[in-house]
Amino acid sequence: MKLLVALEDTGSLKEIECLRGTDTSVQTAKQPISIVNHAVESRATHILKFLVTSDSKYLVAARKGGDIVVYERDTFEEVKRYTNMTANESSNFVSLIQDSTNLIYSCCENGVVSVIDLNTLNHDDNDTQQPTNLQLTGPVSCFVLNPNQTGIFAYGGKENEIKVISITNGKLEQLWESKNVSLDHLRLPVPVWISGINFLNTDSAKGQTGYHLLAISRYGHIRVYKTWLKRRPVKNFQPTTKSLRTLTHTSTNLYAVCSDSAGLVGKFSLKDGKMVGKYHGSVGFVRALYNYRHSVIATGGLDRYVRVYDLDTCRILANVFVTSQVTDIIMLEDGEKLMEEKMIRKEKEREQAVEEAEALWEELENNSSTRKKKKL
Amino acid sequence: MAPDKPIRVRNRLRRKELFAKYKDERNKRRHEERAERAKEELENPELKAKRLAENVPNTIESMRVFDETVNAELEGTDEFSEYFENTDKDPKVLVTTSENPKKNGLIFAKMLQDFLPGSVFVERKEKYTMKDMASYCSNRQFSDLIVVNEDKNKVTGITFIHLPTGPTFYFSVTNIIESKKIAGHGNPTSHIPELILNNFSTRLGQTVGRLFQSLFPHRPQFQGRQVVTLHNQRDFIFFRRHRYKFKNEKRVGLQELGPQFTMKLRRVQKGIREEIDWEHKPSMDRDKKKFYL
Repeated sequence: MKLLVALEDTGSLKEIECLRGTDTSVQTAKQPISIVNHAVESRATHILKFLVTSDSKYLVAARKGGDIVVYERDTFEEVKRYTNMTANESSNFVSLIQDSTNLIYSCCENGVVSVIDLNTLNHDDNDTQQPTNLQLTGPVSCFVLNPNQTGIFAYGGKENEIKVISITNGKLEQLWESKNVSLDHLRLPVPVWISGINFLNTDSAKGQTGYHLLAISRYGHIRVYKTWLKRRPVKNFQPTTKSLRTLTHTSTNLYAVCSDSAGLVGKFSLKDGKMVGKYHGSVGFVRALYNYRHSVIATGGLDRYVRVYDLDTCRILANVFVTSQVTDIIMLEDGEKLMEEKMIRKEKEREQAVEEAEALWEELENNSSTRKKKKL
Repeated sequence: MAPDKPIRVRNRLRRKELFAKYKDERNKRRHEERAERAKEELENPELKAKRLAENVPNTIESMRVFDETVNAELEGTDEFSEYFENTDKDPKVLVTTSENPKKNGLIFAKMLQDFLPGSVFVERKEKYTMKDMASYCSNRQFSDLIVVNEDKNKVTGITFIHLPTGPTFYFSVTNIIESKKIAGHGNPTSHIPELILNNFSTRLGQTVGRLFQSLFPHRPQFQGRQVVTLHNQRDFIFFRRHRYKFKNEKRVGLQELGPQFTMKLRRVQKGIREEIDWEHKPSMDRDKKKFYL
């Protein structure tokens, strides 16, 4: 498998190549094939968010201090640097997204959204390369794109309810806004701090004409919204009191995978909100969670380890020490050939087991016949 | 060790007598063997070196579970880098206690202030939280904030906050012995002590080591001959303070100045008490040969 990891201490990106079963904590286990450092800068300008463009030509990195840098994916040579994209230095990037039309959207904590058109990247005219800026209602803690619909986004933050918006030709329009849950048993409003949103699949044939949203909060809530039904969540769970920070979900939309600020990465059922699985190993806060084709997840955080897990079984597939705290992670490949090899090996083992079992039964039958004779 | 042939005598006193005799003979034999070996090794020192090389006893430390972060090179910079880069600037430490401190909490805070050069003690006020104090200290150019935690007139922990951006460390504290309770103790002077950090080898250990280093000024005053030692053994950090004395050209004597106490790392948090970087869990003590510092 191949992973790209953004590191805080070195301000760089590390490209990791390893096989399934790699574990740097065990001397006798498989070790990573290669770990290479790229795009080194300083801790003051470390990468907060990054993405690899869909054509794998560029790598776009949002750095602390407000710079967005476009690198060549293969050589990691700097192509273009956009400066002062956060409006003020204390505000950090919370999101960096590419849509299907080759537009890059970056969003900061203060609600500034910058739109960069990658199609105009190589043009000499500087004016066309200037990003378009939009202003969301701040503060923003998460900003996500609807993978099924171009130009539809959702965001939320501290005391900032979930808002679904559309951005078309540089114009922003609010389509929907959630409403806070009812007052608690003390008749006090429940605090809001949306920290992660996912768009779930909808079925228009069943009359699901709006957006199906999954959200987490820094107060430990997991909520499901169906915008065609009501503004309040249709499901609301609080499986933990710790702050939930990162979110992804399984392909069946039945489970949410979240990490909290104390190092837990868990799989939560969206039926009853209970934790049904735990991704073991992490000691510190898991800051980055990447869902690779709904089959494996890659995690990285403050404990300086990158871990890869099977999404369904929660089994750890790789554990690599990367010497620095991780801020963001992307999984590029998951060695499909290896998977095939594994499948072949498993089949062989199964066949062998069947053969052994048959041999054992035969032996038992022979033994039982001899015993009968003795009895007679 | 039992004799080769069991002593089958039915009389208990007689049996005991025989066993004592057997033990005595065995000891004599061992002493003779040792004397003989010592004689041989005196003539040929290589034999002794060979024997010692072959018979290395296993200790918990030597059987330590493999940790790839041990002695790993520090990549890039961390929160303590400013202290190591800007060697002209000495640390400025503020020491305070938990709310409503009792006598022992105040005594311990005074102890900390005593051995930390350039530290200031400020009485804790209830209305200020840790985050408030951290921001006030940062505004007043303090490099570290130390909060002594006390429960029922017993010091239970210390919080170290490196300013202005963290991290925050919480250590539990045990076995505090004041200077005056140490037999033959000396009296400390106000000289800047030298610092010895032992066995902080893992990546986490190095961070903890760098924290302690960043509390002391860069240039110790050697004329004071005072040494502060923070010795890590099996994740327990032992604090000791000594004065060394040159008895003659070859011999050096040590005089303990005190205090003594033991710390254990319980939690490391990013920033000012924010996300958990590392936290001690009871399950971590299950494997006796796994160490984290």
